[in-house]
Amino acid sequence: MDSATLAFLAAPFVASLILTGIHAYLGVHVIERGVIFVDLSLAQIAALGAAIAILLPMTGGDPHAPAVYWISLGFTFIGAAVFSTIRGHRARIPQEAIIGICYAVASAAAILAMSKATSESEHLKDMLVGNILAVSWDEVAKTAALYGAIGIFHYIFRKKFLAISLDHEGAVAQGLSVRFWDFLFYASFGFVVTSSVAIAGVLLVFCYLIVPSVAAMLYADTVGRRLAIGWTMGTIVSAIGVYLSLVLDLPTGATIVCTFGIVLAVMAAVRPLIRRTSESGINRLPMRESPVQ
Amino acid sequence: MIGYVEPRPGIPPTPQHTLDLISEMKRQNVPLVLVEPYFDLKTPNSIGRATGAEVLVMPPSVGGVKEVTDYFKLFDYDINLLIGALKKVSTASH
Repeated sequence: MDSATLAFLAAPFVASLILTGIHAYLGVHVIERGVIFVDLSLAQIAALGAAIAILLPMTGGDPHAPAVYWISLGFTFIGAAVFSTIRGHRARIPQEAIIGICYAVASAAAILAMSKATSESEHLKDMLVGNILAVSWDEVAKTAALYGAIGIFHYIFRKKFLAISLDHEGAVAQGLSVRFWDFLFYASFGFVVTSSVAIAGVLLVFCYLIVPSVAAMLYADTVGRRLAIGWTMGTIVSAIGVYLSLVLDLPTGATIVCTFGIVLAVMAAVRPLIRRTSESGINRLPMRESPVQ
Repeated sequence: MIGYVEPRPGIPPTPQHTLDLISEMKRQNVPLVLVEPYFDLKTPNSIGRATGAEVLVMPPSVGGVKEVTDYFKLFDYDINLLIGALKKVSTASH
């Protein structure tokens, strides 16, 4: 690899590390809550917000007007409010059903809004498509600052967020205002997902969110260990994926996604061998035991 | 015309293709990247940043822009865009 290649791939690789950092953490929450497709749904709701913003006279049809960003963010918060109320009813309706409905309706409503837009609406469909190779250092810096702030926010209130994700009934019994904290969770999550999707596209963001966390659950139970495994796996897969896309001459984002799939399959295949050789520890722990109790 | 940003429309370009394009553009001092209005600008803009070339969105058909109402106006419009962009690049390089 010569220096021009390294310089070209440096920003995408650093971006993929930032994505790993925040998404592997949020993924633990998303899997514990059983809201696997919430990222797609919130990203689509944000895109709907942008589509509607372009129709408003204040933006003059310019998709890059600041108002478009704020209205899109406002829609994300509405989505967060909806998702924070759909739990705790003890209803027979699964949360994933509501998340799926929000995704479908937001996608369709965005098409309706775009059909009424006079110009530039073609760019809206690109909101959910990203090319991680095209990321600039400027975007990397902004994203790092934003995710850093959200990471600190989650670290400060980690006990509350984890208590609700891992043991919902227990959190209610403790008298936590679950809806309020759920709203904060989904709002900060929506913030992150919307920026990530613009950089890397929905497929890659979904993988960074879900795969490291699932892979970690194969080998560990406590949140700390799962995070350590998730972050390690995300970093290694990013490096392998970027490298393979270069040497095999393949599109980078899709290569990273497929690398995630292969590494997860290998980790799952190797697990029984490790269980057999280890006398104690991992194999005796039940998979879903909640560490906070 | 020396190459394409996205050789297979809709499929993101590979790193090697993009690197080759950037080095070829630098070697030949290519001043412009032309984009049709319905393509995403992220990749063209990143190539523009890497090479110093100007990214120009050009309507390929009548009605793409309000004032372009017939075929002659389309060519006038696009040629004016090209002249403007080339002037911008040449003044920036001096």
